[in-house]
Amino acid sequence: MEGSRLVVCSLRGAPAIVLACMALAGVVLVSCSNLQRAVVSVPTIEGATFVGNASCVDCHSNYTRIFPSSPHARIHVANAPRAEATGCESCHGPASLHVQAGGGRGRFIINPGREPQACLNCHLEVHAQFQLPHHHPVLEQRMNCVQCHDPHGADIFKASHRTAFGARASTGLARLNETCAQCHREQAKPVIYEHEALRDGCTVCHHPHGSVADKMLMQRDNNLCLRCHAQVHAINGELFIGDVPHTTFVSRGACWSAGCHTAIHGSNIDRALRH
Amino acid sequence: MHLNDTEGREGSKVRNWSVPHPHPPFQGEGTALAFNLRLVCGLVLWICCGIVAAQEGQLAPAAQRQIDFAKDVKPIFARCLQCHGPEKPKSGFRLDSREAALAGGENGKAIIPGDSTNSILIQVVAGIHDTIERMPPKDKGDPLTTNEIAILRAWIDQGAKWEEAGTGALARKASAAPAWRWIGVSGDEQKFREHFWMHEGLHAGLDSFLMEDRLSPDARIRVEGRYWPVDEDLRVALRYERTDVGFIAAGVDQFKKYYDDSGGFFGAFTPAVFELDRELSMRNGKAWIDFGLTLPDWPKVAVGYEYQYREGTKSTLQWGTARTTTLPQLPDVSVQRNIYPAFKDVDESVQIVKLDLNHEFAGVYAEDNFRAEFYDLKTRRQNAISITQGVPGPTSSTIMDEGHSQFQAVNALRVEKEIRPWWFVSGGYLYSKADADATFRQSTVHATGLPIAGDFWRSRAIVMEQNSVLLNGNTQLGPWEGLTLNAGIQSEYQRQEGVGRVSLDTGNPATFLLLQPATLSANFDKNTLRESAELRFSGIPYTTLFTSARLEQEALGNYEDRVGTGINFVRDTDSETFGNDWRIGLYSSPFRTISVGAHYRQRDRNTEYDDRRDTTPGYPAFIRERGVNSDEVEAKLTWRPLSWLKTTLTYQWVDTDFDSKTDAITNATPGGALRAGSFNADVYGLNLMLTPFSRWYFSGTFNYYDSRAVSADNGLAAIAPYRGDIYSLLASATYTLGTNTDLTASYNFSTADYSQDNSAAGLPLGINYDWHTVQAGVGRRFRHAAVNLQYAFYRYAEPTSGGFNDYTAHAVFATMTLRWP
Repeated sequence: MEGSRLVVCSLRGAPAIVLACMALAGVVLVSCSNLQRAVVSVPTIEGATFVGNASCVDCHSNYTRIFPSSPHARIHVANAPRAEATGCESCHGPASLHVQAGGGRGRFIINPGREPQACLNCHLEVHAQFQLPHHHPVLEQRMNCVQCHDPHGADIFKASHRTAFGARASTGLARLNETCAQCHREQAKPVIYEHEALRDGCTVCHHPHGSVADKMLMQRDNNLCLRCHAQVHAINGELFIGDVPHTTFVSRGACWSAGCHTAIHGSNIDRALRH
Repeated sequence: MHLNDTEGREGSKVRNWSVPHPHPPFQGEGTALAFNLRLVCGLVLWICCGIVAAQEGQLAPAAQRQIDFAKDVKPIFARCLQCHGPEKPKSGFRLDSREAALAGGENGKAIIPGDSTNSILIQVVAGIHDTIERMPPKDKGDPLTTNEIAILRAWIDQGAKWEEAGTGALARKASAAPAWRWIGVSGDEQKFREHFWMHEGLHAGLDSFLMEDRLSPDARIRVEGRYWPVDEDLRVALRYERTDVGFIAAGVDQFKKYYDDSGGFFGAFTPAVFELDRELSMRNGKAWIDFGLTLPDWPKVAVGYEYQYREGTKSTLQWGTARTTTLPQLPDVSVQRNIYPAFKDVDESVQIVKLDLNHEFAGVYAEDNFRAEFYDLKTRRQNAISITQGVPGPTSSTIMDEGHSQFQAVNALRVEKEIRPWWFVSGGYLYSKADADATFRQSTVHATGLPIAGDFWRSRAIVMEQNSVLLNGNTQLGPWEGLTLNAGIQSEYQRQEGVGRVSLDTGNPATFLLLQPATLSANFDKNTLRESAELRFSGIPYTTLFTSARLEQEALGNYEDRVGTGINFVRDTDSETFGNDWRIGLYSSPFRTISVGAHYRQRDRNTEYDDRRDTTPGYPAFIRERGVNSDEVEAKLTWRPLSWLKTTLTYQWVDTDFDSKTDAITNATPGGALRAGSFNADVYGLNLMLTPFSRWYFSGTFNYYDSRAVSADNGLAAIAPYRGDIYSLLASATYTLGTNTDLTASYNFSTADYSQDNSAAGLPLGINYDWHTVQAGVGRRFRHAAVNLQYAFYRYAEPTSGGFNDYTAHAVFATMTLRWP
């Protein structure tokens, strides 16, 4: 345990050194190699080869015709030297077998909805967030990326409910909080007295992929609330929030502690969200 | 015969075969006929024979050998399946099964067993058909060679036999993976469950199962799932589909989430940590059934029903009161810290009726989705408000019972059309209406369950109504000279009204209760307009430059009041919000070895509040203005110096300021503008994927996250800055021992230090932990089975919980995957 703490301490002081060491280790491994190589890059499907985007258009025009609006289209470079890394197959894998089989749901093709690794190959920081103690269970295969995200549409968040046909539905831009409300209805339900933070969106307080804090909060303490609810200090050093002195309260713990603002997502009883 | 240009079902132009029937071969009667009739017949016979002979002359002769379909013909058909497979076949003609191929397409039969000369398939692939262009089309591949045509002719002449020779991608197959696991945990078992979503002990389950069968050339059924009884982890998904007819999809999907039962940690207390001594878990699941009709050229229709549910008890962060008067550093002061664990019982269900329609007509694609949702929620939250040292459980608690029943109907309509190859437009309309009833009851109780002096709040009736109307329009233009523009605008109007009759009584029901009946009401009208645009330039080789903007304007009128016994108020506030989100960046992949991407992003969101009426100013309507301003830089470099090595470097920088302007409060604060808080973070990432040796595969990802969040009141000793860093490492290695054996090993490490030193004046809520996971295993494949054996070691240490959440665990996982055939 002490050993690992020492390592950690040293790591904390020098991220650049760590990066350099890992890069060096990679170079050493490279120089020592002398055997048969295999390509490692985009998703692979055994026995399949890349066919190019044109082959996808025939059957999947409902996706391909809106794809130019997608943020993912930014990495689609026409005639790129590595076309396989910039087109449909960069996420779905090489499609030759899928095409030869005449298509079909999940036949010789990767569905990133089920296999998040296709997304995590590029979104490294998200992969790390899913490894934090509190996270949505994507790696545990209880959830998938496309439950919340639309990889093909104009808005990276899903614009509306998923349909039985499996395509995206409704309008082009997502509605605020609707992605989260698909599962977290309790927190998004209408109430008499709302918490105005929800007007800015759930992600104002929560890391949607993962966090070191319980409930995937961005911060575990009162800094989370005070960044909006702070006001100019009183002359006597008292912490006021509104006309209520809070110095004693904040010494006891979080703003959402029992007896305080526990109805953090809104209340039907008290406009200060206390009950 | 003629050539048709018609719209394919997905909007792409396709060229249809439109020959209704092939020429039947001439067959003479052989009976005595009048001379002129014989003469006419003779002439017809001569002409027909001439035509056939002419066609024969143009066609390559059939191969003079026995044809093996799987070996000779199927590879040729593989070139055709892109357009003539089971999924959206062009002109309805399929070449993925004998039945489908012989059935022909929308324009008749294309294969006549025993007669290749008059089979349209041969005429078309040979390019000698009068009106149908050669297949495959020029943009779909090279013409068939003379040898390939000769093989196809021989195959047809020999009866067009279809012997798959067991290759059968569509054949019946099944698999099942029974699994066993043993997990032993020493330390905080509940924390382990919360982290890994698994219960310790020796258990058996079904990691996965699959059955897929082709019931007929057009019908397919697939059942898949998993089942781990101990975790109530169940998934069964069934899908039956008939090409060009429809589908039935049904299933159930459930998992359990575990929660740790301990609260906060305060080292000066004895005990420093409390726990509930009960298992907290929540079942999350859904069951559904959908029926779909996918008839060719008809609107596609799907109706369905879905039941979603959450049941169980979860931990909450509404930690209750713990108090002591025995702290040596504060001997004369009663010290309170809110660390007692809290929980909430949840019983939530929603029934959803679904109707989906989509159709494409005259190049316009339209889709409509209707949902009717019946939502029901019941919760009970218990928060400790006092404890007695040395006595387990809280001395007194508040219990909140809440209910919410809601009906919501939502309809969304979207239309799309490609007006020109360079101009695509779409639009949407959404209407939503919700009606809800809610209940609330709060009691203050002793550990015995009897009421004691405190709050006894209850609702008599709470009703709410919410309506939303949304309009959306989008367009895509280009590419033109490398430029592509896409833009969208979305307008939403939302109105919500809520009224509640409540009684916020205080006292002791056994002695005296002060009744405080009141009527609460609140409503708001909100207009939101959002614009989105992106301009992209790809005129530079292998490079995309882009700039985008997302703007938002929101006007909100909010009215709240309280009338009755107690402190009443009226608040009428208008607010305006402006949000801007700009981004500019590039992506380039100039060589096979390097790609780079980077962007700068600037976001701000500012709200101004106009309290037109506020009878009790000060709380909560004391904020006059609020602003969030954020800058962000993100960069990524992917370098593949060798075919077997890929490295990715990422960097992200975020800097956010929170500004606020508040009212002056008499004898309290002068009010005014201030920097309410700030947040900044640096995130570094490095990923290596390499196969340096023929049997080795390595992958490693390292991330470093450094962040700092402070608020304006960090001058107060009770609140410490929330700053720290997180290191995470994910490394895995695979060694292929032989054709059928793999060795794998992985190591995940994560450590964070957000610890705080403010225990003298407050409650340290930061966290510090180390987390290690080591796994090693072997996998062996057999002809109809695969066996996988894994050992795992877990170690978690959290000094900021006083070690109370620490655990060490060992696990063994064994899985046997059986496959048929």
